[in-house]
Formats: sequence, C-alpha cells, structure tokens
Amino acid sequence: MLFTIANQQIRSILRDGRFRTSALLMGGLFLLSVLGTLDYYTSLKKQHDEATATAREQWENQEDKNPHSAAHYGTYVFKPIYPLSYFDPGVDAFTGNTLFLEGHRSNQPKFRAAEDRGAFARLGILTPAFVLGMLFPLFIILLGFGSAATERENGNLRLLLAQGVKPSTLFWGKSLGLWAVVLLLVLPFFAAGAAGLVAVNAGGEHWLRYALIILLYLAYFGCFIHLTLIISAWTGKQNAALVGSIGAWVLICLLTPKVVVNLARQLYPAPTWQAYNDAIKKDLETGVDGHDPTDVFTQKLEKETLAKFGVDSVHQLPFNWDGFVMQKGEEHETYVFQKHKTRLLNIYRQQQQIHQAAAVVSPYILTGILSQQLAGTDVNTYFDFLAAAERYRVQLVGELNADLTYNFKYGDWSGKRGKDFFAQNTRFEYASSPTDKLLGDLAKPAGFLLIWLVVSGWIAVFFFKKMEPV
Amino acid sequence: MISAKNLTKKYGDKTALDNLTLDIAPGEIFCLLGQNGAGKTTTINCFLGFTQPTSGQAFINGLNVAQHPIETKKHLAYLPEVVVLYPNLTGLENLDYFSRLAGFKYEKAELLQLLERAGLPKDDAVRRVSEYSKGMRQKVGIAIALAKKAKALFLDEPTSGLDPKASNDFTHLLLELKEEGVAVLMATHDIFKAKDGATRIGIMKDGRLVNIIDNLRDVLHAKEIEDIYLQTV
Amino acid sequence: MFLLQLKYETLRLLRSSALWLLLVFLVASVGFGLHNGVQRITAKRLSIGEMLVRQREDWEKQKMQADSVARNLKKVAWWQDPTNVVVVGGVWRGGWVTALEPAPQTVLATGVGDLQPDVWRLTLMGKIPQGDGELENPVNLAFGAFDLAFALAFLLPLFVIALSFNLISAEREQGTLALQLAQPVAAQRLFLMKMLARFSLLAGLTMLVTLPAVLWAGIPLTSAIAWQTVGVAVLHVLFWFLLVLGVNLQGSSSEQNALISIGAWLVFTLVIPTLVNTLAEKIHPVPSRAGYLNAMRDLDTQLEKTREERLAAFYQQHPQYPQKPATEKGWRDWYREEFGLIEEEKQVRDSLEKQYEDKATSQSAFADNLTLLSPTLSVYRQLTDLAGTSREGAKASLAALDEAQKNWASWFLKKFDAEQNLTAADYDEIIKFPNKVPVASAPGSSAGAFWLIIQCLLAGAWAWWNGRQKSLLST
Repeated sequence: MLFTIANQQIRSILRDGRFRTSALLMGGLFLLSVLGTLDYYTSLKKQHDEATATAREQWENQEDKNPHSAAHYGTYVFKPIYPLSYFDPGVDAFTGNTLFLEGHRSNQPKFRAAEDRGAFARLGILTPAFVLGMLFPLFIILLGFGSAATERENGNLRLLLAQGVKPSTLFWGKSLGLWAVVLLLVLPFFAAGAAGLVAVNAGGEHWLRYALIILLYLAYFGCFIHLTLIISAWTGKQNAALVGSIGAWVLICLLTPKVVVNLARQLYPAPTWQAYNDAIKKDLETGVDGHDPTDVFTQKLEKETLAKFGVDSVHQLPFNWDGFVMQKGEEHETYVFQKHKTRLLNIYRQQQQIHQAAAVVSPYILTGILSQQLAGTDVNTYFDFLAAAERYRVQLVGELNADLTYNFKYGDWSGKRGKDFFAQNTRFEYASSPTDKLLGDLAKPAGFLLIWLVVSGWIAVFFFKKMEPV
Repeated sequence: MISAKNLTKKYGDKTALDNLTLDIAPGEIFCLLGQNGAGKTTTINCFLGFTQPTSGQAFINGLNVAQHPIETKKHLAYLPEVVVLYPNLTGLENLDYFSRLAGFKYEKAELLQLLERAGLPKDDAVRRVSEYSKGMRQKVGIAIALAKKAKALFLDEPTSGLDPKASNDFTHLLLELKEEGVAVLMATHDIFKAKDGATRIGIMKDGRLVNIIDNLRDVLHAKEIEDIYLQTV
Repeated sequence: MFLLQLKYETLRLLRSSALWLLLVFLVASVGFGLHNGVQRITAKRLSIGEMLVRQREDWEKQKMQADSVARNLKKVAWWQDPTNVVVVGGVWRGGWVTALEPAPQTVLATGVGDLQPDVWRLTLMGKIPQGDGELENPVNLAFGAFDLAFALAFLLPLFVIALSFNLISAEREQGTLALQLAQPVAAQRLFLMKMLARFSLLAGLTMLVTLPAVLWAGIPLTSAIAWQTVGVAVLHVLFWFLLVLGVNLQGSSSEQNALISIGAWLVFTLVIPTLVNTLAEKIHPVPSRAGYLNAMRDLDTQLEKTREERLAAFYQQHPQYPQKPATEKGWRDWYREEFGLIEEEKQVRDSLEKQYEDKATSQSAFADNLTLLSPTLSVYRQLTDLAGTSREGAKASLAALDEAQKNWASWFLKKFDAEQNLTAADYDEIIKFPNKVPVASAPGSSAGAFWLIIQCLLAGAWAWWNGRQKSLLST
C-alpha cells in the first residue's frame, strides 16, 4: 500500500508540466553555479599559493640585517583556500585574506574580498550551496504543496480512508514519493558537484567531506518535505497550503537568518575599536616594554636577572641582554593580545550560540553552519587559521630573538644576518583540522538537524491523522 | 424585447451557434434547455455583448447589441450561474455598488426594500456575503436585477444548487416579473422548473434551436418534456 | 467612477484579514530595518565620539607638554617632542583623527558601510584607517544587514503580490466580473478606474508605513531624501502591481497567478542579482590583495635601490638645502628628504593601487550597468546612493578625506619649511581643524530611480500587451 501511494505521487508529479520546467530551471541554475564558482576558487588558490611562495622569497632575500630588525620587517601569511570553497564559499569574502606577522604586534587580518566589490555584491553570488539551500526547497514546495490538500479537496481522501488506508501510511507514501522525485533531480546535481572536486584534484579527505555534505543536504531536504506535507495536511486547502508553504520558506530561509544575526549583533556587541585598543594599551603597560630601557618593568626584570645569574651588570650575562629583554617584552605583548582576542572571540561565540538557537525555527541556519564547516569556509576554521598564524609568529619571532640573545654580543647592533640564516627560519605550515576533530564539532548542529527532521516527521503524521475528509 | 436573427458564432472549425433565430416578447419566460456545450451560454453571451457573433444580429428592445453595446445594457439585467459576489461586503453594499455602476443612486432604505422584495430580510442584508447561503446570494443577484428596472432578464442556471424553498421563492418572483412585462431568457437543466414557469421551452443542440415547445398551448407532463428532450439531444 | 471604485476597493481591502496581517508584516519589516540602521549609526557615533573625545584629551595634554618643552622646563627626545612639527603632524605615529560623520540618511542602507573604516588618521604622508570595521564578526557581514533597503527591495514586493495576485482572477471566479460587465459601463473605463483605485490604496498604504518610519529614524520631513525614499518605495510598488496585473491579464486561475507571481519575485530578487554578480566576477575578476602586498613590498625594495639617485636629483633641484653625510644628518634633514621624495613615491605606489582599484571599479560598474535587469537592483542602487554607502559614495567620502589631509599636511609643511616649532598657540589653532567629514552622496545619485521608472514602463507595456490579447472574461 505504501508503495502504491508513493507510485501515484511520483507519477502525478512527473506528469505535471511544472515539474519539467522547474527541474530544467533548477538544473540550469545549479550547473551555472558550479561553473561560475569553480574558476574563482582555482584562481584564488593559485594566487594565494604564489603569494605565499613570494612572501617566503622576500623573507629569505631581505637585506642583511640584525635578526630583531628582521622581526620588524615581518612577513605575510595568506588565508588557505579549500577545495570545497567553490561549493560553499561561506564567510570567505568577509574574512581577511592577508595577515602581517611582525614582532611586538598581533595584527588584525586585512583585505577582505568584499571590500573590493560594489554594494550589489552583498546580494549574493550564485553558488551551489545557494541553489541547494535557498532555491531547492522551493522546488520541493512547488511539487508537494498539494500532496495532502488536493486529496482532501477533491474527495479522494474519503475514498482512500474508506479503502482502509491509514493516515500514517498515507503520509509515508507521500513522503516516499516526494523523496523519489527529489533524489531523481538532486543526485545528478551532486554528481556535477563532484566533477568540481575532480577538476581541482582534491584529496581523499575532501571527498569524505563532500559525502557528508550530500548527507547533510538530504537531511535538509527531508525537513522541507516534512514541512510541506505538514502544511498541506494542516490547511487542507490547496491555496492556503501554497501560501503557507511559501510563507514558511520566507520565514526559514530569508527572514530568520537575517533577523537573528542582526539581533545577536545587538545583544552581544563587539567592543568599539577605541575601547578594545585602550584595554590592550592599558594591559601592555603592566609588563615589560622591550624597546624602552627606562620602563619600570624592564628595570625590575634587570634586577631579577642579575640576581639570578649572580652578576653585577648586564654585560656579564652569558647572553645578549637586548635580545633577552626583547623576547620578554614579546612574551608579555603576545599574552596581552591573546587575552583580548580571546575575549572578542567569546563575544563572537555568544553571537553564534544565538544563531544556533534560532535553528528551532530555521533548519536553513543549521544547514548553513554544517555546510560551511565541511567546506572549510566557516568562521571557526578561519579563527583556527589565525590562531595557528599567531603561534607561528610567536615561534618565528622567538627564533629571531633567540638568535640575537645567544649569538650576538650585548651592545653589538651592527651584526647582521643574511640569506642563509633567514632561509632556515621555520616556514608557516597550516593544515585544516583533522576529520575526527571536525566530526566532533559537527555533532551538535547535526544532532539538532536530525531532531528537526524527526520531530517534523512526527508532527506531519499527527496532522495527517487529524485531516478530516471534506 | 429580446430577439436574435440568424445568430452564428464560430470558434475556428467549431460552430457554437448555428443560425439562431429567436423572439421573446415582454412578459414571456423562455427556457433554453440543452446539453453542456449546446450553446445556451454562448447565446446569452451574445446578448450581453460578451461575445461578438460571427454573423447575424442580437437585439435588445430593438437596439442592435453590437452597435449599441452600452445602451442595450441599460435595458437588461443578468444573473450569472456563479453568484459569489464580493464576500467581504454586505448584501446591501454589493447591491449599492452594482446599482451605482448601472447609474442608479439608491438610498439605504430603498436598497433594503429591493432586497426585501427579492426575499432577503433586513437582518441578513447587513451581514457579509461570505456568511450567506447560495440561496441568499441568489436573492442579492435578483435584487441587483430588480434595481435596474430592466425589461429584459437573462438567467444562467439560476436554480442549480438551491434548496427547494429557495427554488420555490425564485419561481414566484419570476412569475411576478412576468406579470410586470419583463422578458426573460433562462438557460437551465431543470426540466421541472422549466415546465412550471416557462411560456415556451426551447431545446438546443449543437448550436441550433431544434425544438420549441409552447408550454401554454401544449400542456405536457414533465415526463413527456423529458422524453422529447432526450430524443432531441 | 473613480471614487466609487476607490470606496469599494477600500472597503473590500480593509475587511480582509489578509490585509491586516500583511500590513503588520510590512510595518514590522520596515520598522526593524530602520531600527537596525539607527542602531548601526548610534554605535558608529558612539565609537567615533569615544575616539574624538580621547583625541581631545590627548591633545590638551600634549599642549601642556609642548608649553613645558618650549619653556625648557622639560627635555624629551626629538621623536617624542610635542613641539616638533613632524612628530605632531604625524608620519608613522601622530596625526589627526578624523571621522566620516554618518548623516541621518545613512540609516537607509548599509551597502558597503560595514566594510569601510569610519575613522582615519590624517598624517603628513597620507591617511591611515583607524576603525571599527575590523572588529565585526565575519558571520554578521556574510548574512548582510536587515536594513530598509532589504525590506523595500525584498519584502515589499511580497506585500504587493499578496494583495494583487487575484486582482482579476478572483473577480472572474466570483462572478462579479461578468456582473460588472453586464452593467452599462465601458469595460475599459471600469477596469482602468478599478486598477487605479487599487494601486492608489497600495501606494497610499506604503507611504503611510514608510514615511513615518523614515521620519522616526531621524531624516527630517523637509529633506528631499525622505521623499525620495518614499518615492522609491511607491515606484517599486508600481512595478510589482503592473507585473502582477499583467499576469492576471493572461487569464489564468488565482492559484496560477500566485505561482507565477512568486516565481517572478524569485527570479527578480534572488536569481537575477546573483547571476549578475557571478557574471561580473567572471568578466571582471578582481584578484586577491595577496599579490598586491607582495608587489608593494617589491616596490619598496625597488624604491630603496633608486633612493640614492632620486636624492641626488632632489638636491640638484633644491641647491638651497645642505647635503650632509649620513652620520651628520639630523631629523630635519631626514624628513626634508622624505617630504621631497614622497610625491614621486606616492605616484609609484598609487599606480599599483590603481591597478587593483580599477579592476574592482570595472566589476562594480559592470554590475551597475545591468541594473535594468531587476527592480531589486534599482531599489538597492538608489537607496545605497541616497545613504552614501554605495561604492561611489564611499569613494566620494574618501576623496573628501584626502582634501582634509592635504590641508592638514600643508599647514605643517609650511611650518617645517620655515623651521618653526609648535607653540601652545599653535595647538589652539590645530584643535580647530575639522575632525569630521560628512558622508557624501554619490554623484549622479538618481540612476536607480531612473532605471526603476524604465522598469515600470516595461511592466506597464507588458500588462497593456496582455490586456490587448485576451478578453477579460476568458478562462
């Protein structure tokens, strides 16, 4: 009986002229989106790889100088670009592409791609994630809004119930039918999307992520299938079902994300620049300043170190006092910047918790979060990269200061280092988080999405049972 | 009052009306019987100017409909098959609106009187049409026709969906109008009602008026009319 | 006739529960959008206020210090000397904090406003950003602002569609269409008056919702901008009304009309803008600034290499300046050289900057040229232009800042050339420098409205064409 109903549903949908037109439209848009973004990704990756190589070259070929001066010369690191970013660019356009690493300062990333665009660009670009997340649910709605309502309105429901069909079976049958049609259309999409991965020679790990993305979107579509059937059964009238379903889509995909994000911003505002910098400045003044010998903390450190090594003057220390003091200053500064950065990140995290809370209304938000995380284009992956860059900065500057401290005589500022030295400084290597850690992060939002799926299914059965034949 | 001369309407190859000739005098109730698609609605549409005939003429009160589209509408009233009206307006407001369109500015008391005559009491007249039964809406439609003081009345399936009481009320009103000299053209499926009120009954098939039964002269039973109908179509 | 139609259209509309729900929806959207805009400006003003207050305090302190140093009461190193023209005017530190003052109309649309720094430091060499943009969570930027532009561009059409999709189809299905046409009225005149009445209602409601909201958000009633905003809203209503009217004139059922209208909304608001952006990116790709930074570094190295020659040329052109060997150069000599070479170096650096700028501008211009394709783009364009938050508006604001920087630099350079030091009196003059520059409207800022009018004409022509093709009564 289940399959009979499913078959009927499939047949009536496939015969509908609307299916053909909308399927073609969806297919066209999806292909366009893959073609459009693939280029962008490959070109961007190439640019960043080249820039990274060039930056390293510039570092190695810098004018011979004192190692601490080299710390002031600094180097650049560039945001890693992941293969799946063509599928879902996430927040990529809004995260800085470049970060300047130098001594004594923990900088903010600069040059977000969106800054080089016009105002129209904020209306979005056509990406596979956009087509699947925003537009495909409409396709589901278009095909499914009449499912229960038409049966009721044209009297078939009475017939079906009289034939002994249980409401829950009716629901499962309709659901199965819709699933079949959805899969019919969306599996070729995913195949086309996979072609993108092949084109960029992505590694095995990314195929796993892509597989998870597929599962994710299927769960998301399931939510919409259930939602469409709920509204169809609840209203019992075609017109109302259509209005209700479209309204639900507007609420879920268009309104809730924007409303929630704006609300979260206002509930947990980031500090003003002045306040942020003031707080940092204040804290910096509580520790060693590597460049200021008259500083109170430097003097204290001097006394302590002299005492520790049992000597009377810094000349007698077994290392270069200048380098030592620079490093201590550096450590203090790093600590202060880190403290305030963490505070800022916590504010962001609180904002994001509100976004996740809104997932009760909108599975679109959940899907967005998961999709971005899997593609590597979410904000947490980016902050991870920034943290790794900071660790590298600490390491590099540490190397330079250590060289100054142990290989140079105190007071000798004329000593220089050259290419052979700079060439053996650590390179910046960054790898995205391993899959098991990723799965750990995904667990919570994925769990919520599954709950949405299951609960919506349960509610749908409830409304199917409640449907009264006209 | 209502007359058609060789009225023909073709849609491409299909002939909806084939040389229809018909004369309805004031005080006559002419019922058009026929299958779905026989041409009853097309005939009415030609008189109303909703459709242009391919050839032939339609006349209302001696005026050619095609040449005097607006003038002729002054003399006629129309009750369509689907009388839903504006659901958010009251019966009174609906009547006021359509009357004003016809060029009549009635006071509220006069409008209520018209509705009363059509069979709709005052308490109902001030409620929204969305709460009306089909019979009540029908009565508003009739009131609209009465308000125009028209001499020709066109009815399309007026009794379909009415319960017996409402249907009866309707027939009484029709007979009253007949006494007042209104010419009525009524398209219907209801053979019994046709027999009850009609002066003449015309049976249409494939766009032609194939049989005209004079109800006053030939006193036939409803069953006999039904037989003739079934033979004809 | 018109008044009759107006009376009854009003009654019908006001008595439908759908209208009230939709009105609440519209008021909520417009209100929330403007609230967000106001909140954004308030936050900006707060931030700017803090920075300017801090500056005021710091400069008062500096003035005191300068006074002490001038009277030889205090000794400081030259790079911390508050009477030193170069140190105060600013090269790598110092300088004058100037803010882009948000005008009341900035509440209308966020545009690129949340990506650009609001506060800049003007120095003798140029201007350096110093602002809030960096501290915004990227997620917030990615989702975009729910501003008035969003409400008017995306949600207002839904309001119009919901109230007009069954304009004619409902009358046909209710039988009132036939009833009306059976009355002695010219069909065209009846129809025209009815449409006019319905549109007047929709436009009136829109104005009733938008105008008070705009006034509440702080834009004065006398300002042209308030009326231009309302005008954009009404034009947008006109476009969608005509479009849905055209759909109705095709003679399908109410349900079909609803589907087609929603489909049109999707195409115009979601699909076309994203396609335009994708196309713009493909045809005018903007490279990542990664390459820019490395190229800039290379440039710096190059400039270092040619410094000797350029210095030689400089001293040749200015024989009045003494050329000293490195060990004898004082800060004045160093900076005289810097200022002497800066013009040329700036040109070289700017030409690199221009390469990237030009690519970005041509992409943006390409997208702008496609405004005709969707009223969403027109509305967005007009509102961001009015608010000064379009790309052109942002550039105009930066140009104004550059002007201010030139004034700042020239005042100090005059003193530098005259080898003067700063006194407390000078400080009083300095503090009078404007520390705010108003956000500019983009030049030619009616382009969006112009395209919107064209789109209304096209929609009207389409509706008229449909009207000619089919009789109103046909199903």
